[in-house]
Amino acid sequence: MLLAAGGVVMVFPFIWMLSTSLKDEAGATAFPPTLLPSEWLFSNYADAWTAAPFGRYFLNSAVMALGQVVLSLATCSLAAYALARMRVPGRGPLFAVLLATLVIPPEVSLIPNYISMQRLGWYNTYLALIVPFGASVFNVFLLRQAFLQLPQDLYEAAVLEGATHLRFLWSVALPLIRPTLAILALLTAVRAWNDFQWPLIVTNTADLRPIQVGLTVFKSDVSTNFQLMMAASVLAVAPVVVLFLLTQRQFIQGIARTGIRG
Amino acid sequence: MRGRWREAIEGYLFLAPALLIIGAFHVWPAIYVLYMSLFRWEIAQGPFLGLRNYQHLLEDGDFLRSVGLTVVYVVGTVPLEMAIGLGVALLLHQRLRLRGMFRLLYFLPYVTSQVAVALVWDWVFNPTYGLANGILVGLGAPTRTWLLQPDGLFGRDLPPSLALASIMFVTIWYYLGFHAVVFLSGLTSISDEILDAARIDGAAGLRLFRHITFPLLSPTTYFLLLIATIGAMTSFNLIYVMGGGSTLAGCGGNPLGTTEVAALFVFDRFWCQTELGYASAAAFALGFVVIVFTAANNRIFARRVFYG
Amino acid sequence: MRLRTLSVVLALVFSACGAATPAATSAPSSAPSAAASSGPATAAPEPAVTITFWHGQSGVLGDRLKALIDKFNASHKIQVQATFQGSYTNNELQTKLISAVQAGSPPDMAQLTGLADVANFYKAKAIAPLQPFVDGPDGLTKDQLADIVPSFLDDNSLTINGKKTIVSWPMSKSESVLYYNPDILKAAGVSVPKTWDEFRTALQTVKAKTSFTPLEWTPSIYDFFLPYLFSEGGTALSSDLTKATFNSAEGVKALQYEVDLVNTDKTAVVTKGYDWQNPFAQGKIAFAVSTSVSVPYIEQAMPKDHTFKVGMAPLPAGPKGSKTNLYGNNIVVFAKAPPDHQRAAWIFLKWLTDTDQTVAWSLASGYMPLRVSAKNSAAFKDAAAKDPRLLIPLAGAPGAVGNPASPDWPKIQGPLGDAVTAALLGRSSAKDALDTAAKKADSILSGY
Repeated sequence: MLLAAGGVVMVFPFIWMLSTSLKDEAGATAFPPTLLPSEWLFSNYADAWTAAPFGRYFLNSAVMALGQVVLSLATCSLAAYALARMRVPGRGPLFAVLLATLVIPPEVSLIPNYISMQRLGWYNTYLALIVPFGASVFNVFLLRQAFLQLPQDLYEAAVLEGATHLRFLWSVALPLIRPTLAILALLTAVRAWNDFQWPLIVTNTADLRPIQVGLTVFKSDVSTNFQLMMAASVLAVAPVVVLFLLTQRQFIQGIARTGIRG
Repeated sequence: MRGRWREAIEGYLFLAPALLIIGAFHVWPAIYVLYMSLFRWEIAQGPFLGLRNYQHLLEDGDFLRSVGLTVVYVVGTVPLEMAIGLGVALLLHQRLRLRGMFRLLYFLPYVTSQVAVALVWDWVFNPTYGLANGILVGLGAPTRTWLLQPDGLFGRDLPPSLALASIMFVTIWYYLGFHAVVFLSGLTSISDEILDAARIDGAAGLRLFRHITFPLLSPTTYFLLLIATIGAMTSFNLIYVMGGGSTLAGCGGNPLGTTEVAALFVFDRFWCQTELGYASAAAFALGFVVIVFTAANNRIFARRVFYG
Repeated sequence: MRLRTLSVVLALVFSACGAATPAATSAPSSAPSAAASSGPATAAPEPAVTITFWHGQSGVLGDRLKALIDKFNASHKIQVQATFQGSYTNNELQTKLISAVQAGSPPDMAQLTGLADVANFYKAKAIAPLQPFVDGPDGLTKDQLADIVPSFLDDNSLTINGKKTIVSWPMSKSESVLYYNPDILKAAGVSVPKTWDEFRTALQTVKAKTSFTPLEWTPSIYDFFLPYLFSEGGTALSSDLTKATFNSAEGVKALQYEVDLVNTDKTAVVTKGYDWQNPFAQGKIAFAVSTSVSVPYIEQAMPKDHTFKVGMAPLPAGPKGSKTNLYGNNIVVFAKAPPDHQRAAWIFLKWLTDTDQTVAWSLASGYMPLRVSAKNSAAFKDAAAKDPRLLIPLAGAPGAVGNPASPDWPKIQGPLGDAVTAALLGRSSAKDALDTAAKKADSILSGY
């Protein structure tokens, strides 16, 4: 019951988004507000879709999100494994430094990163959209936590069979922490999907711009046209919702099934 | 001995890709910002000032206010979003019908772009046609001006203003699902055997939670607290868009600067007033506060974290 | 001799394309540049270079700008490569430009938001003043220069070494105007107010005779306070830009007027951003004050079964006539651009200012044409005959005032905006609020 009541509060803005996206001009800002459209205008979606090159935006966002997920999970798994399971001198201070980097607001590091992109020749390429987010302290931390929870005897058994660290990581450790990987994949993808300022700064042309840039531009072009704006927003959210539905089974049930001690 | 060396080298190789990326795109910018903070730096680099930018910060009433507002914002959002998130996770962890749907409902805000979120809530809080006033009218209560209202909830000049409080409400709504999902993954990693054993020992309900579940969750809790606090201290987007953004004059923090938290102060001085050096100093000072807080946090909480 | 022949050929090419006025290229310039110290200046051949242009026009306006630039590229050796880099009202374009300047890789030219930003980039030595080009062999004649709306040129000029110097170039200019709903005015029996006093009475009448909101607007300093102040003869800053003057008696009167509307008469409702546009489009508001390019936004929000013709009028007048705030953007040419790129940028800007183009861009975008004579062109006359509202911003243009030329202005507008908010909320008197803001402004202007 509690959940359902809370759920209503949580979801109300989305109901409104959906319903507004189907309303006409008068319905969108009527007062007192109405819940349902007087007439269901599915054409708003077609109008929004054709009003801007959303297809291209979607593709770019997908490339960016996928690239970041793959790269980040790869680099962070390696690093987290080393921090959790290998005797690496200086890993304590190293970890502290990593945590400290979280505190500089990204709005301020735009300039040095922009300069780096120019120097590297990555400006206006997919590399600029992907590589800077190809590792994150957050991911390293959570993966390290997950590796720490794996029982020590698993590793010892693997060593007896002559497995190297890389082999153990790939064929034993990673499959066991699949739920964590699934969560991080989701969170990384969401972050990438919703990023706005960085992609705008490092791209020059519409061919490379992702959905959030498109959405913001669209917003200023049709600022008074709530229903089109909402239709575009719903379109932009939809892929992430699908991704959530696809991954949630992984991270909710995964650990319970493998029976790893907490 | 040789094995040890080999492992160390292998370890560094494992660390290298992530460190390279984090070093180049997180550490290097931080160093660059530190460098900028030592200069008068407007659009172009000016004379070297040493620590004078920092000195000026301490005398800048606007900066001090923004730090105060940040504290209010963090204290008013983080504990609530975590507590509610944990509650939701506990409920969702039970075998419920429609569990998957509820999970999605609570997570939905977090996956939505902040552009769309701000648009929706802007409508909710619109004084003339918004939902919030619609509800108040329905209840027969006087309407309010929400995001335009600098008067404090607990007295005219005491933060948070109604504007900031409205933004805090949206913040909690937005991040709740994130906490719930991470807690949920923490909960699922507590094995049923432990819980069953505890139940056999007669633990149940609140006691089970206090003595078994919560301690076992503590690494997750601690980590979330850290991440959420740092996140809230450097929080920008939602406050920027809902606090008026560029629509009045200047860069936001409206009304009357009552929503100008530290990250907004930094953004405004950096990009809108183009005081790059001064804003960098503010960013670094803010970073310093966060680090001190994190260290203190470590001291207080780390001991109580139970690594099962 | 050879140069001169070339310039004649060039002039022929230009006129053949119908792109540039031949006089511009063949007439000797009045103020020769360094290169032309011996004898009358003549234009060198047009450089065959590609120049980059960063702008903030997206969506439909972006497409129309592209069409215009395509037209230029088709008729010139210079190729302009224009790209949208984020909206300029939302600080995105400026963020990108500042980053690019730090990286030492700015475009050849870009849009900036107003004179204060231009002053700021100039102070950083990031941009090249345009005066030498205006005076140079590719420049404008005195007559042509006099044909550019003077307030637009003022909005692109800084005082450098005691001399007024054109630094940037106008492109898309708009201004604050008064919007009204003619149906509501008719119902209340009110005519369009000409003075601030008439405006106040009109609002009271609407309130007394109808159930509509008389005025809903965002109390930005640009959409009420400053225009009122100017119409009383006041200024925002002293002429040497060292002191705030907005807290003069005129300033207090201007702010008190707003306070009276909101708190005494209760005829005005305060809102945020462009939130007034939707209720206005739905016919719930009699008056609003905002930028002159708002009509399409209002119209797209109008219910299809209940439309009306949005009324537009110059802002009400004070003792010094009707004054208004100049919005829109200015184009700058970057100092980093090589000389031939800078010159190419100027040739493009001059082309954009020719009657044909400025009228075309004005009609396509809703911004004002840059030339005084533009309203006599056939295309503009035709359009204005269909929609007389086009003439209203033009009538206001002579009284339009842009941002003060101080690079510190962006730091001052925040405190000034706070003063307006504080007074409207009744937290302090108009005078105290303005004095507080002025004190802050003075300390900003004196530097720390």
